[in-house]
Amino acid sequence: MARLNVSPTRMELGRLKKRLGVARNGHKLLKDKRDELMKQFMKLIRRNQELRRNCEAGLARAQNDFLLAGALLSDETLDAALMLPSRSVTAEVTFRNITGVSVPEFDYRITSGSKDSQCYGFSETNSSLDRAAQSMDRMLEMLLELARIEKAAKLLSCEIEKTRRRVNALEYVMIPQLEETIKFINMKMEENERSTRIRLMKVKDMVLENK
Amino acid sequence: MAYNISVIGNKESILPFRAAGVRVYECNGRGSALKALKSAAGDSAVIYVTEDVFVMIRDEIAEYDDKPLPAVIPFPGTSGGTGLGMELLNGSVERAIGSNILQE
Repeated sequence: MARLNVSPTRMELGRLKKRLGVARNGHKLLKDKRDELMKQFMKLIRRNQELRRNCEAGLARAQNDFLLAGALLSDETLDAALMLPSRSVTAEVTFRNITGVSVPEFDYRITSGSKDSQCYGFSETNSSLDRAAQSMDRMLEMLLELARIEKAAKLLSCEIEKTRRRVNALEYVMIPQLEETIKFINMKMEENERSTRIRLMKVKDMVLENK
Repeated sequence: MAYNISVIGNKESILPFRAAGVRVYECNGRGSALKALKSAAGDSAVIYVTEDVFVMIRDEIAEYDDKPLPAVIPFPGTSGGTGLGMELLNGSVERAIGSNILQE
């Protein structure tokens, strides 16, 4: 590992020792952060996998229901029935903090119309469309939960990657570099000390000889 | 704060969402998909995208990966699932841990 390009002075030594202390401290903290993020991530990912399977199956069912319902109706009727939804759904967003990563949580709210109201009249449509719409209503909550968990997993994975890079940079680059430079300065200063002593001894010899 | 929930996809795939009262964007090509994504991303918390459209505009969607909002979630359209959702999940596991631990 290459040492830093600094002049071997006592002042520089003090500065580097301080930096090494900070780097070690930061390394320890970041390592803890990484471990905790990892723990949270593992929890999320298992749930995510399970939820995605369920959602995909549920959605496929809902789409099938709609296709079957639509097959019995003409395209125009189906279009007209679903053209103007009588209600709209919005998502209420709150943020939760997982070890420094702010993760959104969604809660859906029906802003106009009620949960049971349909957006079409019953005269031209059939009952399978009603059933299909109801099954979709139930899916909505699951889909939002999926969105929450998948987003959280994605954000956490980004953060874990970043933290891991920092931990590695400190552990394998910064800290060895600082240690090596400190060692170099120490050796250089000892060397200087020795050469000064020798010089003094030589001068003393010369003075004694001249007497 | 209240945000919208949006769905982007082809006509048949987004039909169920229309009934549920979610805002839908119908699209049938890369151009219209991009336009839909852009206008949905402004005020939506969650955007559900069918897998075929997701593949089409993957790079643009990746821009939202490290932002807290919106969450762009792929779902299988009427043409059937391609396993894209699981693939993305495996991708983020690999990114975080370094190897894929979900594969059995």
